[in-house]
Amino acid sequence: MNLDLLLEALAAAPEVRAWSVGAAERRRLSLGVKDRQAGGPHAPIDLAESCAARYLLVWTDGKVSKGSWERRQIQRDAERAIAAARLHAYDDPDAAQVAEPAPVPEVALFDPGAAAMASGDTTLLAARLSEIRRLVADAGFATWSGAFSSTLSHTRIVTSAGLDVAERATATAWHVSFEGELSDGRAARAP
Amino acid sequence: MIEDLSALGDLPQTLVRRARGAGVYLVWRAQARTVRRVVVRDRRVEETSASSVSGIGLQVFDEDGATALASRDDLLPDEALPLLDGAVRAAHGGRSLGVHRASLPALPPTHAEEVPEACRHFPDLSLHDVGRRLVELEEEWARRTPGPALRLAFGTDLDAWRVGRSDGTDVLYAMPRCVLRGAATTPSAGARHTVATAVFSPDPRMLWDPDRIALFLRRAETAARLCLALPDAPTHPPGSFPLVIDYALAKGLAHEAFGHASEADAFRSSILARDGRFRVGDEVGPGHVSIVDETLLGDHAWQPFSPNGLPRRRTTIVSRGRLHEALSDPWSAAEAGVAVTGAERAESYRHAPVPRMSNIRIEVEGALPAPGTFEDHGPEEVRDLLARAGVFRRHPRVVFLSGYSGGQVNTATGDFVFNCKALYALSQDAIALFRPAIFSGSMFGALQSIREAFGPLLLDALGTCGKWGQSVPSSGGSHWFLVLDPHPAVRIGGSA
Repeated sequence: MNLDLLLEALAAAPEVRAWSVGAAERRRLSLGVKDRQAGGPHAPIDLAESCAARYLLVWTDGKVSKGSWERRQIQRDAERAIAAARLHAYDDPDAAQVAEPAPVPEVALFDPGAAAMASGDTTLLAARLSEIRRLVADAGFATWSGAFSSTLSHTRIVTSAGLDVAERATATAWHVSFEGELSDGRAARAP
Repeated sequence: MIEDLSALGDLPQTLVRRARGAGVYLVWRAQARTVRRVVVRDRRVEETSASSVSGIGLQVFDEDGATALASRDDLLPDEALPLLDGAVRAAHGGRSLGVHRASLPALPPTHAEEVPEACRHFPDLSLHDVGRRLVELEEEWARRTPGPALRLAFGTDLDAWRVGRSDGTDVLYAMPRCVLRGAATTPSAGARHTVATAVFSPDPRMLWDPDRIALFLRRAETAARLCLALPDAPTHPPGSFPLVIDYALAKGLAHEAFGHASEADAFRSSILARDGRFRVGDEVGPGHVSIVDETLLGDHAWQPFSPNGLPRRRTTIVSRGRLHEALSDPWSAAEAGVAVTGAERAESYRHAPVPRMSNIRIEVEGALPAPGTFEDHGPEEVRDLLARAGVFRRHPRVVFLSGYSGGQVNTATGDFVFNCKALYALSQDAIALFRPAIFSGSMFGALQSIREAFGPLLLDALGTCGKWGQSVPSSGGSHWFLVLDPHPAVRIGGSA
């Protein structure tokens, strides 16, 4: 994830006294099942790429601006994005502070299998679907619906006070409902 | 932002050519959307935010009908072409997952552009000015109805799309939406009640439009008075009663019950379908009642084209008591045995469109007149309407359900559960306020029970439809008030 242009623009903005940016670039694969039909036109195999950043800007007059920037603004149009943020600054003394550097605990957030699925590998998804179809047949359910997804994220939090933390993480989730009444699911780092 | 969509250059043609070379049918969707919001509480701006999203979604259908959607949050040609290649690979790869194969219908190519005039005023809006204006409105609201804790929010949403297909279709449309919301909350530490109200306009200058503001303040006063009165109100006993519902609750009934059940992608389990086919001609209500979904220019949920590039058609779901037309898209219509109505909508370019409502209404033939405006009608005036129409001769005590505050329906069974904002027991000589209660039962029972209607159609009840995890604006209504005869399958009270 390239934040260089944005961070340069923030450092060069004379009216910005302090700032905090939390950015995430994500790649996601998902598939839906509607009334027994997997991956149809209304719930297709879905590959999504996105990049966005939430920001807090503290201006020299004490006002703050909060919001989110999209990929275009982060990577190609940072100066105008900052100028636009100034237009909706408002008074909020409690919000006018950004995080200082601090120790970051080591927590396992990444799973290679989930990352592969998020990038298009459907092996794990096929196995899960097959198992659920078998269960549906064995139980004699007339219909079922569900959703399956895996996401790979690169996140970075940077503040003008010196905090700079980057992380790579995965998340997989599935959820099914039978007859519209009985449901189950799981969301975790790994499939 | 709309200019970003006009300035895609030859990207659409390049994508279509590349899709053709790969042997797939392509629907491409580019979206640019800007959302801004200001919240005021206690005479100060509590929050201001602005965000924008833009990107492209490419949905491909291979020669076997397998489909995949790939999306990315920018409009750059260099990124769109690899995205298309990824979608093609994913569609082909779907065979190993046992995915459903869709049949591609023949669609007429469409070229059109619909950008309402109000769109040009969005960039001029100053959020500082909005904040100041909201503080003024909060002060005016508090002056008129002292006591409750008040909160105002103003949101603008300019949502522009450009959609094309392999057949050369290329449509551009922009949907301007602005909503002024107010919420009044009981100030006491005991039972708290929050009553909300809203007024919309496609024009961001609505905060300075005397008519819109007068309407908002009128509704806001009613909401504030109600939130102050509700803590002392008793609970109404459960049961089946003669009912009066207002147009907002009627919109909820039409949307949640009949609307969703008439969406053709759900016909494998909908109660309005048999063996996956719409039950055209079946009687579901009395002969003087119809249900219509229609996108209306200037409305909060206006959408002239679908995200598949089809013009959206007016759909008469129930015509004089009988099922008539379904809300469908190109991929559900044939299987459901209905015409394509272009009813699909999507939250964003990242989402696959699904059939769903726009502005839905219940129409009653022979509606009785009502004087003034809807806002002139509190429980006393509603009682007077019923008295003049002779309803009390039929039912000495009628329960008036006012406002809609959410609900859901099981489209497989037709059972619904809604909540209202207030409940009044009306009789010739007395009016009693009760706390909001659940309104539940069979959608067929409710529709069959409609006897009279009062007032003209009022279609500005706002909502957000959350079908299949996608949020899109919805709206609708009915005549100001509908009278429902008691029905054993329609109840108020009890637990959800």
